Amino acid sequence: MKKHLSKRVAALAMTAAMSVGLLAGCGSSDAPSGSTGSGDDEITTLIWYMSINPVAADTDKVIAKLNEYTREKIGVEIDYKVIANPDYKEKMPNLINAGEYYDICFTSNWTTDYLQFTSKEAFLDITELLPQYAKETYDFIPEAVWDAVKVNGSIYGVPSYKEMGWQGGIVYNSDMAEAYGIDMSAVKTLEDYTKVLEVVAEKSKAEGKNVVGVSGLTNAWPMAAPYESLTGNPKLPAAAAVPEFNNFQDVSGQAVFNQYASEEYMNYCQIVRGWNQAGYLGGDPVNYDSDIANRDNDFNNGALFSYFIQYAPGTSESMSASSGHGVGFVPLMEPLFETRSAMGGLLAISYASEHPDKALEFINLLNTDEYVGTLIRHGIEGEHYTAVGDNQVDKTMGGTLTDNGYDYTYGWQFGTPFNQKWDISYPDNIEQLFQDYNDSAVISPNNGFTFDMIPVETQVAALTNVIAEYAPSLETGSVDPAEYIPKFLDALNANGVDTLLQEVDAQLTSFNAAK
Amino acid sequence: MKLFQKKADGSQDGLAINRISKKANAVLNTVFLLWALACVLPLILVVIVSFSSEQSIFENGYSFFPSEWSLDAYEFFFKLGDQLIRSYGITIFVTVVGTLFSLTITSMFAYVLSRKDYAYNRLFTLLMLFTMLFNGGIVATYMVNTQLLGLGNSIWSLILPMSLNAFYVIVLRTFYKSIPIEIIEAARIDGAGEFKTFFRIVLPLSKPGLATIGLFTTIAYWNDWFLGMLYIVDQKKYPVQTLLWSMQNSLEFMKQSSANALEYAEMAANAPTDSGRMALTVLVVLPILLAYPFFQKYFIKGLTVGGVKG
Amino acid sequence: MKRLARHAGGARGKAGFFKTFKKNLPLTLMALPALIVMFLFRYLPMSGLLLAFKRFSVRKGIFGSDWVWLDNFKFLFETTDAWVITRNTICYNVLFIAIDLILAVAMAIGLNELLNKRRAKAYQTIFMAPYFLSWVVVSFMAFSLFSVDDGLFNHLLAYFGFKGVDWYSEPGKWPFILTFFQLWKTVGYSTVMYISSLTGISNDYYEAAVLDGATKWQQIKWITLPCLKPMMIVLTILAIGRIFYTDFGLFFQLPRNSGPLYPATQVIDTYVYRALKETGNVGMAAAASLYQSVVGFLLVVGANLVVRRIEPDSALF
Repeated sequence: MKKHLSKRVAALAMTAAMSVGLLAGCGSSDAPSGSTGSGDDEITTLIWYMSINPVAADTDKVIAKLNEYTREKIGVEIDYKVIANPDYKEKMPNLINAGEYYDICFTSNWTTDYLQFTSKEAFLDITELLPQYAKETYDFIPEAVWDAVKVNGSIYGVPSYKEMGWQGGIVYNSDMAEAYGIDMSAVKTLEDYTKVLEVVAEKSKAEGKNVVGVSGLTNAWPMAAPYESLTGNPKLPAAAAVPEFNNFQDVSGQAVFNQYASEEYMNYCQIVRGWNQAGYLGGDPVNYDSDIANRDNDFNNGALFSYFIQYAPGTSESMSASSGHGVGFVPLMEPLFETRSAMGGLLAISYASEHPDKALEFINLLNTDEYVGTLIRHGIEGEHYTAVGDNQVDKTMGGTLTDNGYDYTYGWQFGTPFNQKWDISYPDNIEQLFQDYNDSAVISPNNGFTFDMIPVETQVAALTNVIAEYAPSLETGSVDPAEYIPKFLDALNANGVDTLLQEVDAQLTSFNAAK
Repeated sequence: MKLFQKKADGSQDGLAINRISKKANAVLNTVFLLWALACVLPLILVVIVSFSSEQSIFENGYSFFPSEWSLDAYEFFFKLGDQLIRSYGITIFVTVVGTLFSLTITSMFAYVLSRKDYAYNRLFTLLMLFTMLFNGGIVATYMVNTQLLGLGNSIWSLILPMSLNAFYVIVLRTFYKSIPIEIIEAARIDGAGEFKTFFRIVLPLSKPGLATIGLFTTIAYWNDWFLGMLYIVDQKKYPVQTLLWSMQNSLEFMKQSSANALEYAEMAANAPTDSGRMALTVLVVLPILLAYPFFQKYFIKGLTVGGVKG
Repeated sequence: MKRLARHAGGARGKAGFFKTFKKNLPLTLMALPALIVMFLFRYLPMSGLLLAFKRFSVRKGIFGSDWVWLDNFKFLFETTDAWVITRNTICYNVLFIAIDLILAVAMAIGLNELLNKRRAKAYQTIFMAPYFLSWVVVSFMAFSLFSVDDGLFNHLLAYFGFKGVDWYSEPGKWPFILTFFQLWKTVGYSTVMYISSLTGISNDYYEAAVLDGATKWQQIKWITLPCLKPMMIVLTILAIGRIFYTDFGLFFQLPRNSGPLYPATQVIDTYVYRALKETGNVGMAAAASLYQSVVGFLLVVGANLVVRRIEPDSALF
């Protein structure tokens, strides 16, 4: 097992990122789980529901190979049910609700929600079992990550350990910046960026072009003034200040506050209102943001100068390759690790599983046995990849990547990428990039606090609708903040924002008291 | 029911002139033509966009005259090869078997409910109406279908759950009700049993109604992607709508995260999202539109025979 | 039950029940397959209605989950949107039901009267076409009309020297847009139903009417419409039963989930969708659906009562 971070990390995002689910390859055996005698030892069959894209054509072959190994090693065979991401999102919640039998399933905060199903008592509490059956994994994943996945002090899933936290910033066309003589290194805040946008607009108009200055504003607000979102959803009002970021000074006395009522929010909305009125955002920024394909095209063609994204190491390099021009990145914040950051992907065990011990032993192999990690991620050596040195694989196999019968970009969903060999296409220094990234991550003050929404579900339901109504137009500068923020706040108040904040505060107090 | 009202000024040459005037015909035609354009132009646009290159869509938006044609979108779906053919096969099987089964049980049930002399008429009507207004929700339905009835991953999960639609039963019942009871009684006097009366006499008389419901049922089975999405775990057994839905969504997800993916960035950049969406529509809508005239002939007859001949 | 039996069989007591049962057996057998399907696929899952009053736990199952009684319903009423979503849902549905009825009947009769039958056939097929387009596809088409920068409408407005309209931020225009798209999509479907009803009308009526010198209008008024009446009544009652439901795609996809439009586009279904996306509470979903069902049920029973007074033959039950 390799403990250092110098391993390739495939997954650069926690988004439900995917590719095409082409030919299926589900484990065809419908045999119920249970034990079947084989030789001296009992062989346990584990049913594993997995969400990943695309479902690789050679899945059956790889699983057969995997079973050979796990049968020998831990007496386990996998009945593998792999489902493409968009389908899994529709199917799996119903399977779980209906009480279908399974041992292991993939869960996260973007599909088959970890917190929701934990509160529905669907998953097994593995706090006690972990050190016993998956000790190496338990030791390998940092404590902060384990803390983050705890619900009421108990662990219900093994998280995929990869980059820690998220970092907001602006990616921009660096060729254009150079041509217009813009010094992006001077940009530290949104106020600084106004000048940049001004220059872009001025110079591009002079060239007779109509360049949109910046897009992606519907996600930009938490990057402009980062806060810890205590409910796990950054859009819901219940924030805590992170001391390292030196913001929200006016409310820093409060453990929990409504970020929409802050000075920072007014500030942000006024800045983008200025951008909108100056015409830096195109005619309809809300709809512009919703058509990502169009945005990418504009960005590649130089019709869009920049946009806000959640950044991960290696992004700008890969973007320069795909966009055909230089791409730079201006971070607006240090990476922030908070409770929700650990929920990009977890493997959970069903409460009904007859073999939680074996399931954990298997999950342990995924995270710590390099043969298993590489096999499930890259397939069979000689068939799906050739080994390069000790730590790298070459997946081209004389053809193109898309011809490969077994290839997963988002291999971290299987466990940790630190237990899978690197693909040679990654930058040599990516290990260092990840090291730096994780080192610089700010751990949020209330990491590990998970909010139990049940007492205030009524309020959350109403507030979610209010936010969907007001936030997008305010945060893209489409309406005047001086007029609409008070309206927005009135609507939040009328729909019980105080009840929500009080509940969060109460739960947070008892969480901190218990620590 | 009062069907006739004697006319006061009674012009007698009604027979010959019982057609609308040329002028009225022209007005009607104009209105229908405009509405038809509103209905058909979007469909044509869908077809054209599906054959447009992504680049021309970015540049000009959806256009009837794209600057560049392309088959990318179709190639993307045809890459599925055997899977696509198999999925079409499953959908056709489900649609044909489902429609036949559904039409059989629906028409018999509707007929029984249309009979005023049937003792349990009101009870069953209420029971059925209740199912139209109330449903147990997806959790319980899923539990019953997979755990109790064992339909998970089976083709019957695509057929049986939607085989009885209370709405269609009631519509069909309304058709049956217009059949004079004397005909049924005459058959009974001739010694025909209930089943014989139904199949020999009632069914042939209600062809337009059956064709209507048959059409709606066919459309419903053909268009359904959600049952496949819920109940079929093995992608090889997907009906075509589910398969295409899944592919299209994968494609859109991939696009949205293309900036974050190293290996797929290039592939994503060339993937046809807009034209793909439209090609998908063409692939599923055209076959069913072609089936439409088959049903139409049963109720169009009324247009020539029933209405106007004087 | 007893009353029904007596009603039909005229006999009393247990013996009467069996007599009635036996007499009706052939028809009951005919209904049996449908009854079985109904029982298995509609009534067995009805246990899910319990979830409206429970906090669902996967471990405890539907019957074992804890009761929370009416808590799951609160989110439908404890919101400042409660009035708006209810008003919008009802108003749009009433509007849709009325216009759809008038348009579909008018179109069916119009198509029926066209001199060129071929053309009538073609129109009929074409009117069905929008029904096949998914709301997602329709919403993209609509966006190419309404987009602020590149939309066809704003280009036209600019061409004639008017200022462009910010279609996705001005709720005032959406009642018209939504109504148009709804009718555009579904009128063809309803028309088919009336057209096939028209085929059932015997020619004799018209011939007699013509002999009596009835004009076209009079024939429509005194023959065609009365013959279509049962279908009109049935379809309207059924539509009333769904008055608290809306086509999610129409209200969510078409306006592109645009916040400023909520006053005009927020309906019960979209509200519930957004509300539950966050919490995934199946109890609350069941509660919302039960609420919609109960209102629909009461309205159907009410509408049916009215119809039974006026026109007993057309009543549903």
